[in-house]
Amino acid sequence: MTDPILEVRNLSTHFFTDDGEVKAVRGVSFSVAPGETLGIVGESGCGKSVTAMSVLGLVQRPGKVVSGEIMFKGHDLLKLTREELRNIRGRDIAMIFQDPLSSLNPVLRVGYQIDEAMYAHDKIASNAVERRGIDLLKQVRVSDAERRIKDFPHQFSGGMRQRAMIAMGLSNKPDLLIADEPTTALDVTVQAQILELLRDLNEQTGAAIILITHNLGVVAGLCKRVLVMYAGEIVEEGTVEQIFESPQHPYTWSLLRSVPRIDANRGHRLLSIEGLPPDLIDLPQGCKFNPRCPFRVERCFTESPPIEQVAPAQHAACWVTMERAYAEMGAGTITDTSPGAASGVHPAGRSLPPAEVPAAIAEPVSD
Amino acid sequence: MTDTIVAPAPKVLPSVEPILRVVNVVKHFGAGVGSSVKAVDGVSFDILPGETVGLVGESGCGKSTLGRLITQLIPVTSGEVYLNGVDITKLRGEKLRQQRKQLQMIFQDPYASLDPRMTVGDIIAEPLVNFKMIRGRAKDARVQELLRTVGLNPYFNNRYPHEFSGGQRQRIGIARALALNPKLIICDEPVSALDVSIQAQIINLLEDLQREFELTYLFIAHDLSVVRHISNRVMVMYLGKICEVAPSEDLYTSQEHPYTRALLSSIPVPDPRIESRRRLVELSGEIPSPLNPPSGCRFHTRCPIAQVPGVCADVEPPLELKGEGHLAACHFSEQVRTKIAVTN
Amino acid sequence: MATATTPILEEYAGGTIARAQVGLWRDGFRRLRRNRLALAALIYLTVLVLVAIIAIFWTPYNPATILPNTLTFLGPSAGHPLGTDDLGRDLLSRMMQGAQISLIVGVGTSAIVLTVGVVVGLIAGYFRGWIDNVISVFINIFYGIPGILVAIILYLILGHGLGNIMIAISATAWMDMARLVRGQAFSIREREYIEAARASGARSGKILFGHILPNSLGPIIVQATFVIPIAILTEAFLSYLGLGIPSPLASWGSIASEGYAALPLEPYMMLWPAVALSLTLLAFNFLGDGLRDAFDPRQRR
Repeated sequence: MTDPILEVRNLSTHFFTDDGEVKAVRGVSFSVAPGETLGIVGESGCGKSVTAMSVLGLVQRPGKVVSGEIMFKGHDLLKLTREELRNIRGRDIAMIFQDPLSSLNPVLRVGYQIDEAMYAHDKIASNAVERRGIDLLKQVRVSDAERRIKDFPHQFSGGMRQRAMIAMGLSNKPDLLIADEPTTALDVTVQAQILELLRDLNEQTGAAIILITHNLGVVAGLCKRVLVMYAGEIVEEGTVEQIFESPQHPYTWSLLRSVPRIDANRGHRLLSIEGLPPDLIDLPQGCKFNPRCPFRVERCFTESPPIEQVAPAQHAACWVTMERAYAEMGAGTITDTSPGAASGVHPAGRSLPPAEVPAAIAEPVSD
Repeated sequence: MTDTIVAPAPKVLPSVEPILRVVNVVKHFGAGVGSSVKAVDGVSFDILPGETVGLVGESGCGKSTLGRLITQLIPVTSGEVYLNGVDITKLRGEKLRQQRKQLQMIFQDPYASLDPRMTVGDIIAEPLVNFKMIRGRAKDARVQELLRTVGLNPYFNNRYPHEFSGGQRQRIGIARALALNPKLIICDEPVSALDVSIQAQIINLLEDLQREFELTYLFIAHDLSVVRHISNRVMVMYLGKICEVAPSEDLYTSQEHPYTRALLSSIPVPDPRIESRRRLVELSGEIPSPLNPPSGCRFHTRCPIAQVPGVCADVEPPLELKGEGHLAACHFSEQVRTKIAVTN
Repeated sequence: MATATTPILEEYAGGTIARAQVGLWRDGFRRLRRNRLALAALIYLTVLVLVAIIAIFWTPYNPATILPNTLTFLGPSAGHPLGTDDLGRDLLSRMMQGAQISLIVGVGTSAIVLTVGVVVGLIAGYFRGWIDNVISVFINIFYGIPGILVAIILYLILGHGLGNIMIAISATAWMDMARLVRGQAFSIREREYIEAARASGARSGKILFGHILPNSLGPIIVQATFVIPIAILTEAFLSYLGLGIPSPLASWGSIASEGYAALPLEPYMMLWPAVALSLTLLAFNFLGDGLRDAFDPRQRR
């Protein structure tokens, strides 16, 4: 069992805004083995991007990492000075973002920017930098690399810009590449090419990849292990087969059933998750998914479940787990996925028949 | 350039009049002396009452422009659009405005499609007010009824859009589209800007509303999985033209156009075992510029089975019937499945 | 199993709003209140307006009454808190009248500029095409001519009168507003909710005044606020030159004009209008700045 290159322990990052303290990431722990492809999946607001930014020390005011450790090759990244962190960023850990247009400087040639990344870190000999730049563009499959290296970003298409970003990211032979929604803004055919490129690069260079996305299909194609995040916490983690074939957390399970599949039989109604994600300033008590969970039980309202092992190499944070939901609550034949529908458990609260609701309802009911 | 009228979807009787008939619609945007962006370059199709027709394609294919041409939010360069038999491209001013009662649109961006200075109730009631249909208490009652129909609390009509989430705003947009009881609704990327779990809510809502109000949809999106799920038939666009029309059940298993096949091979499936077996169809090069589309078949510059030099570069293939309810514009459609591999 | 009934709001699409949020106007005013300068300006202007209103009904003395020789050029004293002028008229009363005139001219001009500028700007920005071309060419031609010059010429042509002053000053000031509104209309017309309005059958008038105008109010109000001090200053200047408000009406400018000649003997006749003008102009400018910052769409969310 090799040592992980990245180990995040109990990371919490909060944003101190005018409206209150946004608890964007709470108690997140995970590790990445060398050369592994890890997917972090979740919807907007789940904290996946903030987690990545925290790893690289890119969290800006009013955000702040409030607790945790981020161990990278034996050092706690949170305890490093800015200078030391800057050395690691771009050299040992590289990051690519969703919108390559804003990550690339429009007035500098692409080749210059790739070279700059190498000059800044001194890992590659100066006289080899330019040659390596061209090789990198070839490696990311930009055709006609010798000529294109002199182009400006606006002369590149969206897919090509993303390839240029990947080239920059790989230029210093990093151990870890973090890709935050790298293909969300791209057409699907271009997306497929970029993902295939990332897969090949992972095999060729041995760089580990953390892929952050909301697209379950992308994760299924590229990643070996998956983390599922919801409302700032990890709710499930496991191998990609486990997550897709036997998800144990109701959120993962519901998410998989709410996505239309190109290969599915038509005529199925999508199982939707009712309601909205919680307010990160004013979090509900207990399990954060309870206001939307069809399988909730009493305990879910009051106590937040810890993340526990549910199968070899699979962990989920749930009092019920899907195994029990299938056995006792008829999850296999469920049609109504409204909160509490399968378990029949509801919170105590005000009850008014619809017609009598007064015209001014100011505050949402808190469970 | 001949474009035959599409065969009706299997479940609808062929003798029914189409609710929408688009004939050879062209839209060129002037881009300077002598050149123009050929956003839509000759598109024809029918939509029959009660069906959902999906329109899918990547960026630059012209699908959004086509949506706006059909609703006459922008004028056509040439071609006709028949709404219930009336050619709306020839109408102006008040006559055109009156036609809008039958044809409504749902927009993509839930944050931009609602006027931030209006209350939700006013937004939903606006179509009714525009046509002076009802007012006062009857109007308020209708707004509340519409809010309930789309699953929102009817007492929220005095709130402002910024107080709602993306999915809720999209519901407001849907309520607005329903206000005039239209029969045809153009949905322009209605779920693209929403989170995954909310998308399912809205898709289910649209399906329920279709059943309840006997609506007809033209569903425009770039996500083929979503389009296929909700539509009876799917039209695939590339660079301003339709390249394939297929019943949704058949689309995954049999494609008659190489582009469609390549598109399908690119779509990630949330199933690791299937993903590991799939093979991506690589398309060479980039999407050509709509300022200067390729000669002959527009797709020939990137097509894995194109005959160049040959008929593919010289002759534009017509959109014609290749199977039951299945059309494609390709000279070699019979080779698509045999010569282009999508699994390892 | 629990038996309590579901809270009502759960029935509707997770119908609970994520968090009750502050309205756009309320948030704007909250930020305005935090701006001390703007607040001070607002207080000063409120007092000024009150003074002007009172002056309609009552002033310590009749501003036009010429008092006997012995009472000319008095400095501030119990009977005349601001002193008297060269003809023995009470300066406080005259300053109060001046306040009326300044405010009327300021706000009145702003109103004219608002009306004309907004209508022209909306039409040019929304319809574009030849209308816009004509309007833009017109504005561009006359933009270079100094406003004061036009105001003077126009006023000489139109003749005396408060209304004529306002017309003369707005003759060039409306163009700035029109330009601003045109720019707003240009950008707003591309937004999706405008398309949605057209798709739901809205006529052009409804779109212009029901959608585009309400969404440009912020910058328009700010601009209108800045027009007021310009109008006041222009009127004061005209009156100072002797071209403006005729005697015996007292405008701050004419008081200052009369005071210039008397400067060696008595500084007060010039001092009060100078101070009043400065404070008032500053106040409107601070208020305008404050409004602009308060309605800046940059919200920290």
